[in-house]
Amino acid sequence: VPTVTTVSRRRSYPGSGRLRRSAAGLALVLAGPAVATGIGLAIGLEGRPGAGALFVLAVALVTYAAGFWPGLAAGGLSVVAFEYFFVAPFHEFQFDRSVAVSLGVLVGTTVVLVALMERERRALRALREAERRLELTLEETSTGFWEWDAVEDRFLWSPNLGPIFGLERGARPDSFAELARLVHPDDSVRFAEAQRRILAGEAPARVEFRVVTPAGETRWIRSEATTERDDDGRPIRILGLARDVSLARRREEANRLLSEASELLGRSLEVEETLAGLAALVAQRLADRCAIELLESEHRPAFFTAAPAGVSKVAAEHLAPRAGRVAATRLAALEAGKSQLLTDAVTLRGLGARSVVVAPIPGPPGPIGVLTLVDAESGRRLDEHDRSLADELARRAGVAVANAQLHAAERAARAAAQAAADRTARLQRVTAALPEATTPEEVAETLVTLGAPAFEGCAMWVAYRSEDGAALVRAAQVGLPQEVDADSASIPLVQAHTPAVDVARSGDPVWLASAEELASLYPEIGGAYRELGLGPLAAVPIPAAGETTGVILVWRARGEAFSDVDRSFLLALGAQAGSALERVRAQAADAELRQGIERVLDVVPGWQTGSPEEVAGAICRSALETFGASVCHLFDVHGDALRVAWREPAAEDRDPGPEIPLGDFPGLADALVRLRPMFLADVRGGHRHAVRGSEVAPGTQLRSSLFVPVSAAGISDRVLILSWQEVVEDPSPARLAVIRRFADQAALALEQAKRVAAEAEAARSAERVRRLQSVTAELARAVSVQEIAQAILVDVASFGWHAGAVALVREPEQAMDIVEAVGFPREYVDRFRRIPLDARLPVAEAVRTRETVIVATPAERDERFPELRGVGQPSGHPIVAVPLVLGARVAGALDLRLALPGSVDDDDLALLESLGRLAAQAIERARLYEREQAVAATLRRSVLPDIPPRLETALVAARYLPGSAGLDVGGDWYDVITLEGQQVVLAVGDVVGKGVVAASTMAQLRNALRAYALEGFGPAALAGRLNRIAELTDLHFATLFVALVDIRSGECRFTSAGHPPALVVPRDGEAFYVEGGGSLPLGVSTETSYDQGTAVLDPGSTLVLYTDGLVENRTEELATALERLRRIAPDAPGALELLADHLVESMLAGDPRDDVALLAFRLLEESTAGLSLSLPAAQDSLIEARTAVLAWLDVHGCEPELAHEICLACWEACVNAIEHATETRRATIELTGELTRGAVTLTVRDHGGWREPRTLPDRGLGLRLVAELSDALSVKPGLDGTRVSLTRRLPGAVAA
Amino acid sequence: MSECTVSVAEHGGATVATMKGELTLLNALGIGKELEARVEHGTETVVLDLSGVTFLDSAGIQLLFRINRLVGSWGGRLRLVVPSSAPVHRIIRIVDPGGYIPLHATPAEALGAPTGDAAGSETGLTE
Repeated sequence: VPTVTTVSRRRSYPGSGRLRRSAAGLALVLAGPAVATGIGLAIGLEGRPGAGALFVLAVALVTYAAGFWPGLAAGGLSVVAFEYFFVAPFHEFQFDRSVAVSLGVLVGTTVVLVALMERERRALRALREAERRLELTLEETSTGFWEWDAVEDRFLWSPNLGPIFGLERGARPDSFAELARLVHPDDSVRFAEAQRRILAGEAPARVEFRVVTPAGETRWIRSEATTERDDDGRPIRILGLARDVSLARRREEANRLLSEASELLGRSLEVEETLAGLAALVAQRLADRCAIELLESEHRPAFFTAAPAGVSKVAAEHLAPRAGRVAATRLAALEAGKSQLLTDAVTLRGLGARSVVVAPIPGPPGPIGVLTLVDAESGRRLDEHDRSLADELARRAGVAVANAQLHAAERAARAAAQAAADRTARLQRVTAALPEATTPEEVAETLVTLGAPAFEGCAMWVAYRSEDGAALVRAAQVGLPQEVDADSASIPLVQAHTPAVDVARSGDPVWLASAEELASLYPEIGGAYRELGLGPLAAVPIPAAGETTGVILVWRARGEAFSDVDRSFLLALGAQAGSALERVRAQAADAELRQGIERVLDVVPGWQTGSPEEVAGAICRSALETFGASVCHLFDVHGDALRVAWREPAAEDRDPGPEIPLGDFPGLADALVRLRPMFLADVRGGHRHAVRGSEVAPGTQLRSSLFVPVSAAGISDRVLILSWQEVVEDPSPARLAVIRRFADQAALALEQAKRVAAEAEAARSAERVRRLQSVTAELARAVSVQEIAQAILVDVASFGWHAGAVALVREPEQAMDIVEAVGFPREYVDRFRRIPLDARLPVAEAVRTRETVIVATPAERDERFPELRGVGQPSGHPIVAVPLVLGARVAGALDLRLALPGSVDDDDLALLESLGRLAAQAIERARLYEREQAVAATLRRSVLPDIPPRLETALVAARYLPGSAGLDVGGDWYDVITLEGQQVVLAVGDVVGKGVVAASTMAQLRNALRAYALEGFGPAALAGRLNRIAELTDLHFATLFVALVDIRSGECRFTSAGHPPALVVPRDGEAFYVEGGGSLPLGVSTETSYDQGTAVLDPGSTLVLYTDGLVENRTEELATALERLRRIAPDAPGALELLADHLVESMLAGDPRDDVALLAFRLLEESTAGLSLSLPAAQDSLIEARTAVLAWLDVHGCEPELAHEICLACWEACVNAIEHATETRRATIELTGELTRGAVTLTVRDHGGWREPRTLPDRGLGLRLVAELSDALSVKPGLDGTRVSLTRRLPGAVAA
Repeated sequence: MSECTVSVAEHGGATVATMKGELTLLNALGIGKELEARVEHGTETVVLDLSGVTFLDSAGIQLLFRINRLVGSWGGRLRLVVPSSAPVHRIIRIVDPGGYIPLHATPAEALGAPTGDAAGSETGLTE
């Protein structure tokens, strides 16, 4: 912008500024140099040309360098100086000097003046040039120059300023006021203010204002001015430039409008709102009115807005160019996609407009709307600028619309996606919340609280099938009106017809679009729901464990039916609820199980101690408490039957009752095998067998029972039965599991108790064995029957008995007497003091059958032995009657009551029976002893011979058995006489008759035989002589068999006087009777001649002599008996003593009717030489006996260890014999040993009675040692002392 | 001929009686008296070393039982040293099958001490 300044620049030449200000100044300027020049000339003229020139030069230099005034001052000073030093002497020359000075001043002034004027002329020319260029410039830039004379209020205008203000070229306002009138009214205040400020000289004056041209056009003028002031600061004049800035102003305006429009359009994505705003903006800033319409396809209007706001839509439509040219223009604009400017005043007059711009709003596919600008008649006519501006606005609006549409579409899409995501999230919340639920109710609560919003449901209802499956029971609901809620608490499945019931029954969902559809399909309930304002309904099943376990109903208030997506989500929700329900129920079951197991574990400690019965009782009580049954049984399983082990509540009578066949409970056998509980839910009419337990409440019956196998090791050996008087439901799996756990614990406890009991029993058993030993000792010590009975019963309790009695048979009376009783009530003993053998009593039966009688229970007792009923006696104790058996005879019976209930085990039985045998033996012995004491004391020695003599290579065994007939001594006898020369006489005889007479005759015969034998008579001669003696003594008949054996040769000569033949038992092969040598009995006739037979005995063979008692009995012919004897003889064990025993026992079966005498004689093989010792009955003999036995065994190659054991056995037998012998006059013991058939047999014989010396207790221990160390043991008490034979097999070569 | 020597040693509060020879009816009474005399009343553990006994009869066993009862009467415990190779091992097993009186292989074992060298232990315990 050009700035108006003064004409010339200040430093163009010195003093120039002053020239134009005053004539005085100019004169001074001219005078200075002129004076200086004049002085210089004067000096020069006075003869000092050098000094004058120097002076002029100095003044000129100073003037040039420092300015006029300093130069002048210098000149002045020079003149003064000159006056002081040079002029004074020359006062007389004033004339010359003044002429010279005046001339010098004149010349100098002229020169300077000419020079100055030339310079001024050039400066003016340059100034004019510059002004013209400035004018041209102002003209070019449409800038006008003006000058206002403030004093005169006159305007000086450059010619181009008129058109700028809309005036004629050259025209100008006359005064400031006139100028002010040109100013737009809106700007006049601002204009005046600017004027004031200019005049005040406040600021660089720059002002923009509008002027309204006479043509009505508004122009923007920018003016800048500078003020010139006088010395007092008053403005003299104001110089200024003015320029038309309308265009720039419009561009600026347009840019601002565009940016505001852009900002407006970008401010919001609400297209309609922003377009309305745009219209308003445009109407305010660009045009009088503005309409914006958006079109759908085929130019149908979709949106219209117009401004000013006051213009109604109708008016706006009216304003809108819709008809005629305007419409055509609009169409053209749309189709061409270009804006149109219409300025046809005629056409537009009807619209009250002067110009219209129609600009299409471009869209991606083409114009999407129209922007219409209308200016009112009063306003500015729209021009091309406006059109292009409208284009730009339309373009921007188009972009904005497109943006907004895109955005709207995107937002819609996002909103849709968000909505979907929200639903999914809500469903996920349900899904996430379901696992938190711990009860079915919580599951339902979760469903309704989270599920209803997820499906935009206004109400939701969840119901589960009731336990019996007959109804749907509401578990939770939300949003249902009160009346519906009340109705829907429980819906019976059979009668009701509702969507929920349909779903529950079919398992398929039901979708109803509206209450109307509901009403048409379900008339019963539809109406009600319609009134309640419920809309679409969804009913989906809750599937769990393969069935529909519940139903979910969801209502929407109104609006859309459930979409496919909704449906699939709802079905999924149902499924999720189902699985949650399954889990919750499983957890509940699990919790029940856990609690149950805890309860079981709580009671288990109570089972840890006690007998199996006590433990069983504790278990049953626990079972009743824990499972709430009426009755609990614990049965033992015995094969195919059940036996009550315990019942709770316990009945008074502990009778377990009969066994129940397993088959009575169908399926139980299978359940036991599989270890599975079995449940009988409802047994009509009560349990057949459980009735046994129904005394709990008489008349009641047990209807339901649970059978639980109790198994410790995989085998159900017990079964627990819980029974109820009422019908109960099937136990849940959890309950079953608890019960099974209970049963497992019970099994462990029972096993434990059993084991403890078994250990206790083992200890008790050991104790009993000790007791048995003790009793054995007592028995051995006891002499009389009474003592024996007392010994047996001495410590009843230590055997585990409650009571015991000994009843002995009195043969003649066929009855038994109780000889001793302990623990029985007196009443019982009195009642059964004498028992007929045929009585129905346990002891009588035991005697009759020779078997132990066991009565385990009171019921059995009452059934088998009614005589015992009602007799004052201990109840509940098992009865055991043990026969006292000795061989074929029964001495009596033990009548015992065991202390503990239950059965008698095998150990007990074995113990009792061995006790019985011991007792029998003792009693037998006691009786024998008593008989012996009574009658045979004196006869024995005369009847029975001395011991078999000691022979080198032969052994003798003898037996004498008194007949059972009684105390009478028979006439049987035997004798062995050793002769010199290794010969031995063997004799067996039988005197007919009994008693002392017969015995004495026998003694005579025996003595005679001895005497004659020693004389050397042979068998026949001996018989003859005895015959004569028999005659002399008026003897009864007597028979005799006498043999003379040569031990070295084995030759045997014999004679039989009416006696059965002797038997020869060879080492191998069959036995045979000797033949020949037979004659009449002794005492028949003196004429009798006696033959003599011969036989040869091989080494190892045995000659057996015997009396007829051996072969005569009631049932057999003599010949048959003889044949039997012959046949059984070779079966005998090897040793001679054993052969003797064998023959006697086999032929007589322990019951000799008549006396029996037997004599066995064996020739030993040299290699198996026997042992035969007779020793004093003193302890010192023990060592001798042992030494002999050891040596003998060593000879036969017996192993040392075995020999040690045999020795010990023999030792013990000898100790026994010595003790017996010390009581008798015959203080010897005999020891024989024989090795035969691979076995050693040692026989120790004494001559005392079987009586335990009191000095040492526990003699039974020695016998037990003997028994343990022997393979076979035979202890034979007899009239002639006791004989103990022990046999021990030898292994290896010796046996061969 | 039937002779038995008895040596008694104290071993940490226990009494160990070592017998050698035969223990029978012929000497049981005497040995019993000797043992009763030499085993102090109240001795907690009494060990009878029978490994050197060559012959033992029922009277000898009775003696053992008597000693056991005696020791038991004051709450003590009788232990027998009877190695399975001992001549009397089987006999004692016969009369006491239930192990009423415990059997031990060595005196050391009977005393409950850790099993060491058997020979050494024996030497150490023998007077």
